[in-house]
Amino acid sequence: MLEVQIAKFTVPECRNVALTPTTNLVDELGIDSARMIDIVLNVEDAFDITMSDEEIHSARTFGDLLEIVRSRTQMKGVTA
Amino acid sequence: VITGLGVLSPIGHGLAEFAEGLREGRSGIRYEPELESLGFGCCVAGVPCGVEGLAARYFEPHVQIGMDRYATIGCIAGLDCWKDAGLPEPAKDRVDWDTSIVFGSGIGGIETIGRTLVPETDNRRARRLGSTIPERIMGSSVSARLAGILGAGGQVTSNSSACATGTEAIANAWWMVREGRARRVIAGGCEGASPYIWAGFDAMRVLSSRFNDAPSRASRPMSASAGGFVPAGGGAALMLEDLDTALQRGARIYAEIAGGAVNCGGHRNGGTMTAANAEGARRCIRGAVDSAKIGADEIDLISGHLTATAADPMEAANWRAALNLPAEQFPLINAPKSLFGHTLGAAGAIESVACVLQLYRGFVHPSINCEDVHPELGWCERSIPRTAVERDLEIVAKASFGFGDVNACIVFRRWKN
Repeated sequence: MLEVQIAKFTVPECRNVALTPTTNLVDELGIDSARMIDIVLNVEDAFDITMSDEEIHSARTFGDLLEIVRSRTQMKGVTA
Repeated sequence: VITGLGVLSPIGHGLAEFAEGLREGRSGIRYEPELESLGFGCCVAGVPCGVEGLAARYFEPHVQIGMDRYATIGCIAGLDCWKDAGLPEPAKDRVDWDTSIVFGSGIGGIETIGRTLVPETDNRRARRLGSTIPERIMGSSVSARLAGILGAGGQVTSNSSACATGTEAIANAWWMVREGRARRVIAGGCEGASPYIWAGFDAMRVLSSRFNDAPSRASRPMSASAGGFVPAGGGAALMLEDLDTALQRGARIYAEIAGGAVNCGGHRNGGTMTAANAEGARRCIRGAVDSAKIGADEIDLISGHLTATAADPMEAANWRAALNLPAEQFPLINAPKSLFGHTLGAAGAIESVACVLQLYRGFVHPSINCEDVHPELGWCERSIPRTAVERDLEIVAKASFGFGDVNACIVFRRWKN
């Protein structure tokens, strides 16, 4: 799911870059930094989670996003 | 000189289709069910076909999401113009400091405003709008987007002067080249096809409403039965280049801009926000002709603003007074809006492309739907071509007049090698 959202905003010339936890979304995938918000909104909707502004601004890599989503979905699991 | 053209209009996309539509006098006006369902008096419009499919061909999805429909139309025309000028594929890692852009619109990204921004904001979902709203609705959306795609590093700006926008953009670009501030400028105008643009004009009762059942007859400039303009969308661009640069790279030259003028009637002597001060319009035409250093009798064709409202007879009278020619020497005059309606901020650009094509290919497009010429235009009836005229032209004058009492006029001259 997260991979699909990231792929949507990746520029064509970077589409063959391997997505690993350390992949920097802006520098390595050419994603317009403003579009990070769109990725986050789509992910929030898909997983029914909410990310804080600080988390949105500090997320740089695929791993950062993955970690936020993982922690939020686990939290939901705990409270559910 | 003009070295490239691009157009996306209700009568066609691309120069071949557009020129064919002009020559055939083809109407691009169709019945629009959405307008009827919204309770408009005018239920016909000129809408460019296949924009969605073109958008998918021209722009990556991650680019498209930042574009309102008006910007999509404008950028397609701008990119076509670049390609038509024979300029190379833009480099991804280099800025082209020699290219500037002046690309205007009368209204802008109102589809995004009306369908997304306002409802979502009112629904307390401002924080769910995503990142693209500012770039979709900003007035410079088209020039900025084109700059990004082409890597343009000169002045990149957008003008807005209502229905004179497109012609004004060309005049501004011409001055930039003449002053040596730019070696080449993409000059253009575009407008979306949106009920949100047209509703206010429908409310003013200035749109055609009597030919909803006969769309191809609805746009009737210079006709006694004209009852308002037919709204339309579209976009066009012209590549203006300084002569040395064009010659150096062996560019094809379509025509040259011989003169131009832009002014305002100052909302005096009959001029208002929505009506023209006749003297302002006349001075603008005279200014353009004088700057071209030609005699009025050298003009072969006038491409009028001529919207099919009550202003048509006054416009023709202004041309006559400004040129100070007897009726029998009055040049041919045609109304491009008779074919594709009034594209508002795009009008001057699309109609200027029509002027250049007529100069370059040697024809005059027909002015349709004025079989019953307005009684106040009897004096120039013989100057109105009802069918295409095959003729080599030397000078074509194009004018646009807009709300705000603004005027713009360009004189195009056939290029002789």
